[in-house]
Amino acid sequence: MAITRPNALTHRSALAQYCDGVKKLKNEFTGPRTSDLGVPGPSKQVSTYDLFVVWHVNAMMTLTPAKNNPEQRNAAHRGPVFPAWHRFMLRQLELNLQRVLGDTNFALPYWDWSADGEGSPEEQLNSDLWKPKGIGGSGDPVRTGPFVFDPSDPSSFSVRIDTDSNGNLEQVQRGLARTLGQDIDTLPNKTDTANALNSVPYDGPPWTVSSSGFRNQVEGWVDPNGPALHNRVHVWVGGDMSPASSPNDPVFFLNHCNVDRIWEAWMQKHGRIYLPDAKAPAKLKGHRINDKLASFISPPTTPADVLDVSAQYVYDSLSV
Amino acid sequence: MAAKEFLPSPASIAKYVKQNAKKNASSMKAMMHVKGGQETTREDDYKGHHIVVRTRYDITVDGQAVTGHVMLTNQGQVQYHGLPNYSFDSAIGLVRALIDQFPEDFEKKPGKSRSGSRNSSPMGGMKMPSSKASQARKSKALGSKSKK
Repeated sequence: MAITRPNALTHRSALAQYCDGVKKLKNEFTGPRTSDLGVPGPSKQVSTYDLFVVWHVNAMMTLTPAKNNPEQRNAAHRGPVFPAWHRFMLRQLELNLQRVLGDTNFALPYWDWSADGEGSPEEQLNSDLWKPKGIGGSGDPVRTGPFVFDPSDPSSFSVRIDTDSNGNLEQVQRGLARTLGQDIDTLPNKTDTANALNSVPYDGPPWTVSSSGFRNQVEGWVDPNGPALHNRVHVWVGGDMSPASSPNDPVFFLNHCNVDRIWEAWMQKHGRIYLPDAKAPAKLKGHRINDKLASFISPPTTPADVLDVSAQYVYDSLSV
Repeated sequence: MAAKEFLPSPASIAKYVKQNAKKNASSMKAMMHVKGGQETTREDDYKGHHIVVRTRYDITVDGQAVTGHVMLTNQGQVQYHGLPNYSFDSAIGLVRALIDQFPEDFEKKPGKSRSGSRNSSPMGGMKMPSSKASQARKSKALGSKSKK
């Protein structure tokens, strides 16, 4: 039976359960070590949560295709596969949260950021999400909420692997950083999501950040005034949401759950259409409907396999 | 996903990471460490003509090479894998943002540490909203920036 993904701000118990599960995955070590993953420095165990950070960085650094790819489409971003790859990643996190929480009914909550984006910049900063009973606020390090780092408590939340200025993985030991509203002052709003919902086709040539269509609109590359939608949320949150290691901030998954909800709403409106199809040329390998999505902690899947997830989960609302 | 969904366990995670780690590490190695400059190529077709524009970047800060991949779109925006959600009007704006975002990577003193705070500050040169209110807020943020 399908689970129902709730709004994080109206289902506070689901958000609290999410935070609890994240901390459990942060303290679960199944065997992989930094030395196995090519992360320089002493060989240390890598937690299940941190494997998601490494997976995201690896996918971002895997060019598709590896050569003759001027706009640098990669295995998870800047091309058609963006919503599908993140749906795959989110579901893997959800299944692992269910496992460590011992609750097969647990469903990832989403952050309806365009609802917050309807308020003034000050109101956006004061959303309940950033309160101590939400996921904590701004800071370097974050000093409120469930993800505060206590150097004297090894089980407290800490950032252990991030990326440097060149995008290389590196080991660190520090608190989570957020700079809410500092790099850009407003979140996307309902006009932005409505425009994305009306955007057709799903994607199209050149299948990059220069394409028109839903995928590029929701990824956030099409606004001449700066980052939009998904990209804008990363930039607005700032801190650890800025580099390729952005899953370090648990809000990453709340953001992408909302992106996934917008994609689901788009498919309800326009049909479960994905482009490019299986006959597209080899230069689009990694982004065609039957190509394998870049996997790390599980067997791979394909965009075709994740188009209809109604047997696994639904959303409590598709009003985006 | 319906028929094929795989339920994870600690053992399965260890198994699949072991299988994928070497492949992923080699992808990373191929992608990173671009030294001695890098070239971006833009192509376009216009009125039956094929346009190719090659741009070479050789970026240093205090003599230290910036080796992450720089991307240049056909619209002229500069993007960078190390800050994957940002667009910049110029490569200078990008490098200023890197200095803001990763101050420890550009410290002139030896023995930099990555154990403290991450430190971020408003990003020089990033495309910003054009409204007056937004600009005013950005100016205020820039003016009140405090380095740690």
